[in-house]
Amino acid sequence: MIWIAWRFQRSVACSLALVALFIIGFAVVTGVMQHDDLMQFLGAPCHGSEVATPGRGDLCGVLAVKLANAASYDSEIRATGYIIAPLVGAILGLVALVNELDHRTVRLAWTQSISRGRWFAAKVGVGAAVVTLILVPTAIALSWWNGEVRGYNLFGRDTYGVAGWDLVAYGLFAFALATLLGAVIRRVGWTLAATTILFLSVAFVVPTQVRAHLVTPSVQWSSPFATVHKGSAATQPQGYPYNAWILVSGAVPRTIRKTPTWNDVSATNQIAFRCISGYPGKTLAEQSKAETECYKKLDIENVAVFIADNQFWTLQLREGLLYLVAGAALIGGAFALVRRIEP
Amino acid sequence: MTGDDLVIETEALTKRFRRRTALSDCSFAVPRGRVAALVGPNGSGKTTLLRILAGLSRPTEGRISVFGEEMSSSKVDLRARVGYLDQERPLYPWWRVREILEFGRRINPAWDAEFAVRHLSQLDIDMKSRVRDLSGGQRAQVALAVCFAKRPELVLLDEPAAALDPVARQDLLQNITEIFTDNESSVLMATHAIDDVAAICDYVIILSQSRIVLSEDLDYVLESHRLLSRGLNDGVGVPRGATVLEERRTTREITYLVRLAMPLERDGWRIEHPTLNEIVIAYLRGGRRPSASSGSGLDESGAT
Repeated sequence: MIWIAWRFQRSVACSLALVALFIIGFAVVTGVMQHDDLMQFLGAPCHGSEVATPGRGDLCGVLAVKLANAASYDSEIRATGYIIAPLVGAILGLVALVNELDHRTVRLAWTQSISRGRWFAAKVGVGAAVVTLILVPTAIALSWWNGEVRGYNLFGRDTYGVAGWDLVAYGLFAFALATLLGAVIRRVGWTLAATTILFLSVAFVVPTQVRAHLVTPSVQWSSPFATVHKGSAATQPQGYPYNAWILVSGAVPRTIRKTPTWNDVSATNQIAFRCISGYPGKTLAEQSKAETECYKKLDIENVAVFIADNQFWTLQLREGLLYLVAGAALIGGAFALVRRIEP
Repeated sequence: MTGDDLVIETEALTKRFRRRTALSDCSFAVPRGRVAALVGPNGSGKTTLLRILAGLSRPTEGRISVFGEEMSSSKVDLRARVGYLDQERPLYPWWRVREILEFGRRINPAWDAEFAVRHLSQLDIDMKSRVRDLSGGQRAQVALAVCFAKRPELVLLDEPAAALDPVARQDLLQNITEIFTDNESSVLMATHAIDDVAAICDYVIILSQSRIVLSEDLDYVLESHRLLSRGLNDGVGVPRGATVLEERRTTREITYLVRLAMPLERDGWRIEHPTLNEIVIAYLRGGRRPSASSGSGLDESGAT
């Protein structure tokens, strides 16, 4: 049965593998070149400065231009990374089930000496294995490219999904979604449309509403007075780890018992503003003094709620598992439907 | 007839699709070793009945048994004994013929690879051809090879010769007969081509308006029906034991197609044997059970 499932998917699988191979190749080649340029630019004689070797065709200037030019296609590579996972998953999901239902070739398979359960298991098993085999090297290449080569903040909205193993989980989830929707809709075109809409909805909801709740964030308090002299006590506090994901940043009363939210910051700003308005004085020094007194009176401190970059892989693991569990549930639903379908 | 002698037995079988009733209260049986024709107009429920028998669909009500066991999609062992040729010949269009046969080999334990290859070679079908490049007749032959190479004890054929040219149609029916003879299978073949029935079948089931109106041995069907003709003004009633299925009038003569329940007395009638075509059409036009209008010696059908 595995041979049959593979025979059914192999042309699509090979085409998708070629697309993935192209993306991997492009990421690796450009990544190695950029990494090399960056190392040269940071080392002697440039030391990160484009004016270190003045004159026409100077080495550091050329390196700086090359690095700037390379940055212009960063977003394209990342966008491609975001597209490849659901593309591979959804297309192989369509091939696995709905294509057969739509063209009614299941009538051939389901009247042979094989159970629908075994047929479904082979189809989904081979499909999921192909998705994994295509996306694992893609995820490794893009993860290396985003982290090692470009040194991006891995929590960035446009980076997170293509900088870890979640890329594979997205693909498997799209595969499961297309499989379930295929069992419900039984038409290839409509299934593709519904899969696209639902996947995009999930891809919007998870980063904005779910991701931040998957790990316990760190909370860091700091005195507002260290930055008061720079203009405002509510400026973003310093000191949280490099490349952390800032969830909340601002000033709140130290007496707050729960993890501060943006609402707390906003409410505190209003209270502080009312307090400061009550003080006379127009000069910068007078306003700064009023600000300091109000902050002391209200016991306000700066706070940063963040997920440190050393939690990146924990977050990836948990979000990936969430997608995989959801995908497994979708596959279970698809199997229940397959047992009842009358083609 | 005992249950062991029956390959198919249904009781009050009903299938509804939302508001449409495809099969209604169908009860019939097919004895072992027969080539049975399932005859009916388009939309009469033939395909639905075959799909239920093949385990692709479930009845809404009633019971259906194949080889004495309730048929369902989960009974792999039972389905292994049943071959099914779908009306639409659902073969994978991008696959080569040899891959289709390999597909069959891998999922059917009793697969007869030698038969499949021999059958297709005799028809000059290239094993390397892709299914989409085959003609309709060749595709039907490939589907038939897959169906029979499974070595089924019961073969369900849904319009096997539909959309074929006369030569391909004749060849296919000839092949079915030969294969059936070699395999000693039972066959249930849905068709609305009555010539096909006469050519290869020995049992006939007529479906009309979602109901079974006849299910009998073909010889008995031919033997138990007559055409009775007389002049319009002869005033002779329909004989006792004769059920009128159809009435035809000309300016001078009236003809009844009747089903006989007892030997016929001549009584001034001109008696002829109807063709199978005439019998089937009478049942399909009437869509009623034979008991609907029985002769009692009086002219009950309105003859003058």
